[in-house]
Amino acid sequence: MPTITRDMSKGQLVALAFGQDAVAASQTDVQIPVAAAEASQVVAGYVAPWSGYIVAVAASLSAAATAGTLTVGATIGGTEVAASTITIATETEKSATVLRTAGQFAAGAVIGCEITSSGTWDGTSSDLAAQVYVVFNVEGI
Amino acid sequence: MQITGGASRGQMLGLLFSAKNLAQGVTDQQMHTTVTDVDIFGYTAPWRGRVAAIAYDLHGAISAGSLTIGATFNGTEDTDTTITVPAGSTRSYYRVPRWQTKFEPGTLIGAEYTTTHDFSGNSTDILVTVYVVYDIGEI
Repeated sequence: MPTITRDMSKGQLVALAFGQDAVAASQTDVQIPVAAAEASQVVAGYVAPWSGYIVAVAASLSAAATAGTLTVGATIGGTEVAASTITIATETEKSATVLRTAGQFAAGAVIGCEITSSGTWDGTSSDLAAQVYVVFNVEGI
Repeated sequence: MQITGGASRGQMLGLLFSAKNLAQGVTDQQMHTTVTDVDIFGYTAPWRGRVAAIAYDLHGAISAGSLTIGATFNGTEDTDTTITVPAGSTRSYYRVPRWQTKFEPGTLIGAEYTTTHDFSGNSTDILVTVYVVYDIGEI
């Protein structure tokens, strides 16, 4: 069992949530909205109050596809971090960790999530929830 | 409190779940994540970890019947996390001994609720937070 000390690490893990209702086929690098408001909202990222790095991406689908692929990846300023990309075929849950040197960002960066689905993707009635896990370098507080 | 320079391996997160208009007489009803308008019932864990606490906020207190909530692993409730909401309560929490509820990477972390047929809070909404401590590695 790990020791719990009475302090706070500068590195703090936070999960940023995103989602898409009914994942359509033939989407390319589509930024998906944050999962915080009405379905019609289109805000597609979280502004980072601190510098940090992406450490994992996780995705859950409400139903499995039987054909095609869907990729999910974290973005920094709208550009996908290739090391964070996960490929989903017939799974309903998938996640991957990311080496902390691969997706570093500065304070003020917009952290997003984008998806690409193949033309043969048939999970079009499936909903997607994705989490981008980041470690913030908390300071100035 | 001192802020140390590194990142702790044990990192706590609150995973949010909700249900609108709680139903009467349901058993092990999985709650939605708070992702709006999508039928998703859990979060895939990128690391192993454990449940540290479960907390709830009700829109209105119940006056009759019973409501229990609990965290789930791959859709199965971990009974060490189950709490019963007493009549008159609108919010509370339970801290779970951290050696009781371990999960592996890839586990779907969810929450579910059960009500009796005489449950009075069927127009009540609920927000449940499952606090997990991830053992982050391979980053």
